[in-house]
Amino acid sequence: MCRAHATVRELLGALVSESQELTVVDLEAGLENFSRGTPRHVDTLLIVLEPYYKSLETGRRISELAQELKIRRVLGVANKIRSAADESAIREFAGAHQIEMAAFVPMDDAILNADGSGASPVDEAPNSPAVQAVLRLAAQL
Amino acid sequence: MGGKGGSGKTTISGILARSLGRRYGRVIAVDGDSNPNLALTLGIPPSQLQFLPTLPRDLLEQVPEEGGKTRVQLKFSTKQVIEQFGTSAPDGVRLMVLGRVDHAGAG
Repeated sequence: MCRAHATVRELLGALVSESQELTVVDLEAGLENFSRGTPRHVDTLLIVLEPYYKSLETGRRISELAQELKIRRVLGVANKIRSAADESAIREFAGAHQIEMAAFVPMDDAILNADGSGASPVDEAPNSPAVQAVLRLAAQL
Repeated sequence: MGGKGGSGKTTISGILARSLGRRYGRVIAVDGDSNPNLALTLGIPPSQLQFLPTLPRDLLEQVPEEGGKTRVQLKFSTKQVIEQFGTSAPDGVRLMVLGRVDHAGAG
């Protein structure tokens, strides 16, 4: 048993299933979480997709593993979108692999600037396009 | 929230948690990354980072079941875990940090 994965898995089970707490989990990057069943208790999985091959391919594999874990809702969130071509590349990939898209978050210097000053983009740049896109995502979940 | 490293998972998780906190009054944010940095995106000041509580490594216990099997469960109630090991962030967000875990040999 990997204790780190097991801890997150059991904590999520307790928070979500037993206590019905609204919970947002920033999972460890990559696939290992999913092969260990860490997120099996979540009801919605958001997969962040960037418009380049490795990111999309990772997203596709996560989506497949999420289906094996029977996660009820799996949605794509495109991030760091620079152009209409980026957006359509992601739409095309998501469509080909049955990933429903929930949001398109633009590339936004305000995020980098907030990171650089050690602050939350919500406080530092509440009106920036990227923050606004995530706020809209929150409203539709 | 899942995705490849560097995809912006943490940034989106943080903004989403703050937004859901505003909307619903309370939300738990779990930093499940072994290199945790969700705190800053939630608006916790950098000066507080080194004092953030993390979840203890022995949060789980083995419980014997019928037939000689065991199962794992949390040692504490979720309320206790949230109160003892959580950190408050703006907009009603309560952050739980898994902490830095050495994965080598832990599998």
